[in-house]
Amino acid sequence: MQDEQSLVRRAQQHDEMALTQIYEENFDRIYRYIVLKIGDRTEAEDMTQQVFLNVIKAISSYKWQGMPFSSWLYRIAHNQIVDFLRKKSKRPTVPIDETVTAVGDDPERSALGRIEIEEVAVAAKRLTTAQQEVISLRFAAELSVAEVAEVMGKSEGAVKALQHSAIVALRKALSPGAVS
Amino acid sequence: MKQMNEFDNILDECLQRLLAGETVESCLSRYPQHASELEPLLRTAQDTLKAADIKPRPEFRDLARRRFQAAVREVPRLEKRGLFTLLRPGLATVAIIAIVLLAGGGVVAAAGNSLPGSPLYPVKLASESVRLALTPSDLGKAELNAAFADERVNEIIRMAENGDASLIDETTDRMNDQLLAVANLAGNDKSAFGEASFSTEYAPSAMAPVPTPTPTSMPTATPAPTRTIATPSATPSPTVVEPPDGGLLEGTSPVQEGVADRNGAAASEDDAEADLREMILLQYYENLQALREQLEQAPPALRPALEYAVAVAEEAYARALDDLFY
Repeated sequence: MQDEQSLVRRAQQHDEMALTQIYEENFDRIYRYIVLKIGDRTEAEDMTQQVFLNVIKAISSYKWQGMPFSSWLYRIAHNQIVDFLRKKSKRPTVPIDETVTAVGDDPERSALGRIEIEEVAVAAKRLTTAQQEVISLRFAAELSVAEVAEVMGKSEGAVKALQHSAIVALRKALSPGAVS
Repeated sequence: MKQMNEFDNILDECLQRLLAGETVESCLSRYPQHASELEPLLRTAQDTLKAADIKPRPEFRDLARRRFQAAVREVPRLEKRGLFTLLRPGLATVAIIAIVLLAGGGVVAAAGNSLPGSPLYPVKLASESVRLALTPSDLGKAELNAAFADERVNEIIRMAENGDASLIDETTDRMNDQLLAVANLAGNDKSAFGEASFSTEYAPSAMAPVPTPTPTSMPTATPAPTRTIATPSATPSPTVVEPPDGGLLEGTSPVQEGVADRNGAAASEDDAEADLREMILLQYYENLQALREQLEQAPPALRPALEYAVAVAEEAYARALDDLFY
């Protein structure tokens, strides 16, 4: 934690190496988190890039409060997603649900037992917002329960319970015939 | 409730083990009494973990990293600028004019050929700022920014020819800012630019793609643009219309002339706007080709900077054209 605090302090002074370290350590995880939330890899690339540009702009105002730095990063990413979805709702686009095939509808893929992230993203739309957030943070960003609790402002016990109900709901949503 | 909490804890422990690379079977063997309830949940979790095990495209990663690093370099530079940013915009303009006047016309002329890193280069940039400050119309500012972006491309090519990659990224970012200004000026005040009343020669569907140097095409590390903007196969020619008597007249039809008479000022503005579009299209065509040719023959040390320049130029010109055409 102290190492992280020191890294963030150097980043706040615009130390190029510190900022690059933060970028390298988090880029892929933030990308996966966004893909799972929006179900579009290309949009997620642009948004991931924008998240880190926003980090550069905002890091000087970041205040260390003993919480993992990642919780701040994921809040920025979350805000970016909310902004994207708000803008998207104002322009006519092909809904995400129509762009991918459900697992159960594709015999070849079902036989291989492999699902794609876009399919998970579609299925996750049937979950509550909090359940979606837990799935994205645990499985895409690979945060610990303690970190997820910080990001979501909940207790670890509440996150574990949410995680349980989210997996049950996701299993149901991913079952053949559940997604149309 | 206690039992539920206990199961939540076991499930979480197993998930943590899956994240660490353990198998579902290994987790189930630890808790045989919960195996039937755990198994379907862990299978779903494992499928989700596998699905989420994706990475961004390598070419995007490279481009994003370079943009991030360029942005990191830009932050301290913005803070160090100090002098002019502390002054109110009007005072800053006066200060720049004074510097240019004090430097003298000869120095300014000499600075015109300078490259980034040379002692005269700040004079060159200052004189560009003065020209922008003294240009009142958005259209005029857009033309100037397009011309300055063109000059940045020339500087990148000259620096590459000199084998100096150190300031290519910075010059590329400056070019991007200037093309962004063109796009913003076009987007901010459509009335100053008129509506997109361009003839079909300019329509993207009628344009041929920018040729890439033979024998190879785009370098593999250069990402595909988010949208393909093409250029005309040749410089657009004036519209040719067929009058009622069957002869061919070059220029506008009688009906069009009537409209032009009533809207003389608007027509002249339209002409200026069309000139700007043509200028940027030609720049797009020629600059992309020149940069790609430079990249083709560049030694390995210069390639990353030139790949970045090609990718940024492609995207920035496409964005400017997008705002000018639509």
